[in-house]
Amino acid sequence: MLTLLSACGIDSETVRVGHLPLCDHSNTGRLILMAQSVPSAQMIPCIEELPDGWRLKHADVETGRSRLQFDNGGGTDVVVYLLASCSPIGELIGSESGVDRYVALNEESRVEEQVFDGGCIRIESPPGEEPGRMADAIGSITRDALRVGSGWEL
Amino acid sequence: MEETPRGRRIVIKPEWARRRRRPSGEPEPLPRRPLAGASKFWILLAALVVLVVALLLSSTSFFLGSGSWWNSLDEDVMGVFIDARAGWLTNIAEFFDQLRSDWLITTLRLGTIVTLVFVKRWRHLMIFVTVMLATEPLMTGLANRLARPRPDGIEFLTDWAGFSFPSIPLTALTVTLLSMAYALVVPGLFRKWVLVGISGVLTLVGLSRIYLGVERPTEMAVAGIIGATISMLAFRLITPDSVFPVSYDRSKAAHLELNEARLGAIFSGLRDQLGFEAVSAELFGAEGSAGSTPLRIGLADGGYIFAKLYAQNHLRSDRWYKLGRTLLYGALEDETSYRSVRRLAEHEDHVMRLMAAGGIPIPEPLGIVEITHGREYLLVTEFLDAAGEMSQSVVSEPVVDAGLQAVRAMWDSGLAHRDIKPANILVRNDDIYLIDHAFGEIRPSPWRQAVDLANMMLTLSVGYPPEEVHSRAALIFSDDEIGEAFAVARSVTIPGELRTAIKSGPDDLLARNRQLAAPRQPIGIQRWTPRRISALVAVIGGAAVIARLIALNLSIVGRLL
Repeated sequence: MLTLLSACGIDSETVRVGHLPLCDHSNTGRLILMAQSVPSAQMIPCIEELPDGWRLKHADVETGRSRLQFDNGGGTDVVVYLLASCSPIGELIGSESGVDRYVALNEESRVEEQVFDGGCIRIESPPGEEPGRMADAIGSITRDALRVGSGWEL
Repeated sequence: MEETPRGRRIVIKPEWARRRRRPSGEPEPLPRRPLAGASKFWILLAALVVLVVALLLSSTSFFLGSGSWWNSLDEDVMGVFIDARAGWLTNIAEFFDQLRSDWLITTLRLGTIVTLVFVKRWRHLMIFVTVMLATEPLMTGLANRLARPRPDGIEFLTDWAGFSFPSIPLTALTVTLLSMAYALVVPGLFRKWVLVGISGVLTLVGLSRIYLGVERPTEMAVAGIIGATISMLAFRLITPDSVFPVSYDRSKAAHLELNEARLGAIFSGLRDQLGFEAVSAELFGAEGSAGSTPLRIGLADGGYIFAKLYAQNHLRSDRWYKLGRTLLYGALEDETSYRSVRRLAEHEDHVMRLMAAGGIPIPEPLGIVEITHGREYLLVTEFLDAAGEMSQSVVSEPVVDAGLQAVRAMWDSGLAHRDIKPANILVRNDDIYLIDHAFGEIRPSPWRQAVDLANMMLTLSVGYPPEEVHSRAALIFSDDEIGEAFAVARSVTIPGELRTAIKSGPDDLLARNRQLAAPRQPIGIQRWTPRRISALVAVIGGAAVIARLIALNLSIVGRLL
């Protein structure tokens, strides 16, 4: 079916997972949906610019949480969550504009949590330069900025 | 109807004056109308939906963006529901919302699949599974492409997942319930009421989702229309009730429905094309016939004729049967399937006429009647009154001789029956008649001729001592020929009914017949041909596509859960 759809001129990757939630507001549908999934969260994760070789593999947005899974085709996944709350497991590495950043690093994984009013963003990635590029590309926008940019009440 | 010089046989004489040539432009007796009635409405509606979806895809933000007239329309209608929120109403809405839950839909689908497997309704099963597998990726893909968020500024009173246009839960419930109705419920007034009930349930679920704030009215409407159209078109086009009727009567499952329209068409076709004035038609010998719909047709003068009604389902059964044989054995013989129902009927009629010309005892062929052009044909023969199947008749020495002589005559005429078994040999007094010539072959391989002899001798051995059968056979066939027959005979070459008859007896009839025959090395049946290899590759490829679709569906369900 995806093959048929792509044959009809619809990008099959988009059909399968939907548009990327870009921070530049060019595709606000996914960002709005993510904001709706955790109504209390004042920050929404987004992608500044997708690094070469990476793609959005799965996007699950539902009541109570959003989950974006990126991969580079080499078996390396970076997973981003938007949750209503987190129990930080790592070390506090900084606080800025109401966002506390925690990082837990071991040989197998790197977990970064950005805790803010009404929610948190959790980024899980394997250690290494390549996953690091992807993790660094994950930014966030405030709910207010999204409201202004999209015209939605949220 | 009159006695003829051919002994006790009665030859039916049609009234040729009754025949009438159908002028150009006049439809055949039963014109094909697969999309009659409500289907036209749904096709029009589906076309409208496709147009709307195309417009939405071309300019999503214009139509669905914040502040668009479309959004305003949805919000106005939703406002009425939100304003009506009350505790008791919320409880009712939550109850109906549970009907779209994944566990319920999965249970309904699994139950339907198990039921269809149990009643062996494979075509309905294939359509059901295909509709279920294809719909959700299609709808999820559309929703991801349109990327319409949930309603804005409304408190959600239930769970949701993914984008909202079109409503995926309602589509899933719609295709599930409607496909169940078409696959499981016997057509008629009861199914109509079931469909009305399903429409009511779907409406209540849709209204509940709107009330609970997670989906908008147009998302529900589009989901319902798309789901209903997919189910209805798939089942009506591929498994029309007139050809693949839903029935729980095992004896009628493979047979066409003898409804008023079809009976009228049979009667008018018999009158116009063959000159018979028919007054009644009933299933006859249906238990042993899965390859056609066998009918005993009463005539105005009190006599009977026999007719086999062939349609698309019988053609497809023949194709699957031959594909299965090709995969299992290669090319035992001609496994090329028929291109059309007409060819199937033509072939059997032709074989019967060659058999009659060769002196092989068969019911007299009376011709072919076209019921639906290219899709339904009636093969008409003499009706053998007071004749019984060999398994229910006394097998005497003259009967044994007649059976063996029939095989000899087929050999001499270059013909093979290919389905010799008790149900296909009718006995009347000391005469036999071979019936059901659908598998008949002209210029068969020596292997096939030997199989016919073995099956005839085995059939006769069921009701007559094998030693006597062999001694009578030795008068007609050489020892080598009988030895060859039992060198090729094995389970796969023996029709199922004959295998069962052999097994039901106290002795191993196949082994006993082999002992009585001249010893000869068994003849192998496995053949590796390009056709067998390509068929295997095609089947494996098809299975891979289905597995991919299943995996795709499971991944979607996994993400929703």
